Amino acid sequence: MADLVLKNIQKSYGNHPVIHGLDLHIKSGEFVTLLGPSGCGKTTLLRMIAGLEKIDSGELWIGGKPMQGLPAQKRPIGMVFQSYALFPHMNVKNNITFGLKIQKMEEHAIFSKLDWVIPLLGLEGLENRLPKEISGGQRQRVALARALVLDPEVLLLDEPLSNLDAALRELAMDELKRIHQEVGKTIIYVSHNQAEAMTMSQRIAVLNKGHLEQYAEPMRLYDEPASRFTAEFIGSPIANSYVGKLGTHDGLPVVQTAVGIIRISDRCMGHVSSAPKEIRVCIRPQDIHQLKNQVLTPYCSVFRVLPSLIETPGDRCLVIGKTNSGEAVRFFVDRVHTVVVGEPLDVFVSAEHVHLFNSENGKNILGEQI
Amino acid sequence: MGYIDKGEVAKKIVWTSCVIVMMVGIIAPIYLLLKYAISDPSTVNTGGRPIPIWPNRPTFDMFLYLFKDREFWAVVANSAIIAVSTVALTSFLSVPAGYVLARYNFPLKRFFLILLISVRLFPDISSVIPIATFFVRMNLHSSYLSVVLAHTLLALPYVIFMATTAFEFVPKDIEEQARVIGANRVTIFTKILVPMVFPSLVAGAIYTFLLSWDEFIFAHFLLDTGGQIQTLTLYLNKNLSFSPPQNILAAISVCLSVPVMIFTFIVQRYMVSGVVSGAVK
Repeated sequence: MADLVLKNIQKSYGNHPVIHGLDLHIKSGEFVTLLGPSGCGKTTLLRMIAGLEKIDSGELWIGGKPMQGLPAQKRPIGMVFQSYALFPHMNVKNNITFGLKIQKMEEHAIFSKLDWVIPLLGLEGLENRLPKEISGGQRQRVALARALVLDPEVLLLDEPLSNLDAALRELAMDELKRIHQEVGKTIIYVSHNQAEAMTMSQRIAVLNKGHLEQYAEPMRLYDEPASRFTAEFIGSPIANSYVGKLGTHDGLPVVQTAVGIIRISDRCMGHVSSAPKEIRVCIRPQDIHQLKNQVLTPYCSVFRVLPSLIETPGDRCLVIGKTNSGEAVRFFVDRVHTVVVGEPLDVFVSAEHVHLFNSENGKNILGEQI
Repeated sequence: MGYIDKGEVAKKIVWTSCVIVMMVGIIAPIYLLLKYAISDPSTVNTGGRPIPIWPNRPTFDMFLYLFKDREFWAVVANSAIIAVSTVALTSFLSVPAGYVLARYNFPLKRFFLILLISVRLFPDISSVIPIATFFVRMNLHSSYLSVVLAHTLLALPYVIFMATTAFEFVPKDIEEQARVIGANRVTIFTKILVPMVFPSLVAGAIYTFLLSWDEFIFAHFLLDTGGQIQTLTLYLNKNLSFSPPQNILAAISVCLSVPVMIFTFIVQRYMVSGVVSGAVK
């Protein structure tokens, strides 16, 4: 078993703290993404796991062994850099086998490793090419092959897809998922791209300014964001966000916003009295629907919107409208001809998709229940 | 498309002319040297008229005369020993120095860099006296070592700068990647870094060889004209004082230049550009 455990990890550059007491438990064979905006500390965290950066305080365990004080070359890890960092003077084969030769592995064992990894990554026929003679996607795969042949317990990937164009990136994502399934390694993937993270990972650790915002499965992050940061960072376009007041309406829990009175989940009932009066309400554009002939449950809230802008990014249209009170509402509709700019329409949202956050610390008011 | 950009054409013409002028500037002296070296002694004195573009009776007599001279071979050997030793010593010192200067920050680094280059801020003639005096005191006078050390001193600042720049071009990712793979510092240095900066080291070696091979002032002061060890430049100087026919001097000059050309020709193929390309991104 190669569980990776981080306990109260802290790191500062000079007087500037970049990681504040972070705890993370990654299970053996899991594909975990460290997700966050630039400067959130995700790459620093990865480099600390690799041993390229010193851990100021805290503990790092891989497979039950402490890693503090162990240099990078002694740790059971493989790493693929954002830049791939191929050795430019070595051909593909020598790049891949460099680490094996350092280990003084026997020639025939090296060959069998090559026979395994070259078809796995589709590098047939490129063995004798130099890095400058192959494409970006191929370089990325060579870097991955070079890490895989060493049979590391944990594979660290630092934004390996960010240098690829969009079409190639989708292919590479499928490829990475397939490789993860085939080799079953623990993979820690660093990304600022939430789409990549949502597609590939089993769990995502959302980082912001050196703090762990949430660590959960992709769908859970999406449906039950633990903080306002997660709600706004995960999902695209950015979630609708309003200031609201908790209360009851006909004995049911609601939140009063400039958009109108919005019915909220029964789970919030207990918080109506205890939670601070002013809270932050986030609703994803994907969770607001046009009211046509649907039969609404009592959990749905309806409000009227005046569309002011319609964008067509693909199969759906993003409508940006305004309520009577002037608040902007973004939502998706299926067909453009049902919505006309300037013609008011009704939209509805279901209570389980209304996310409520403490205005001061940004935490979900449901707190531990999530 | 049949479309011709007039600006482009003008640019090409200007560049081509520049290249031709430069080539003439480089080739003309070599040609003149060669022409004199293969002229028959009797045809060199033409009473002020230039000798024809191709000598009347081309001959290799001058070279044969030189090659039969045992002293000539001795000085060629001396120059070669000194130049090769200087290249070896300079490379040995400049590679680690360049790496440290490129990768580490230490107190007074900028001061140290200026100090390094300041060796070459003085004209050679002003630094040769104290150096010669010092070597005499160290009992190094009239030895190979003195000239090798002096030439190394002359070459080192530039070669260290070349090596530093080259190491700075090696992305840090590459070193860190090698560490993650399991390489120790020595392996990273010998198997990754040195091969990557090799073209620059070769350029440095060529520079050092050229500098040492045709260096005169330090060789003159440290070896004496009449001393045991003579270099080619000193030999040429000695022969000049006997005012021999120009074609003998020209032949010696050719002998001075040819090894330089051969050395450059051999090592310049390692100077392929773009060795670093493809490493990152």
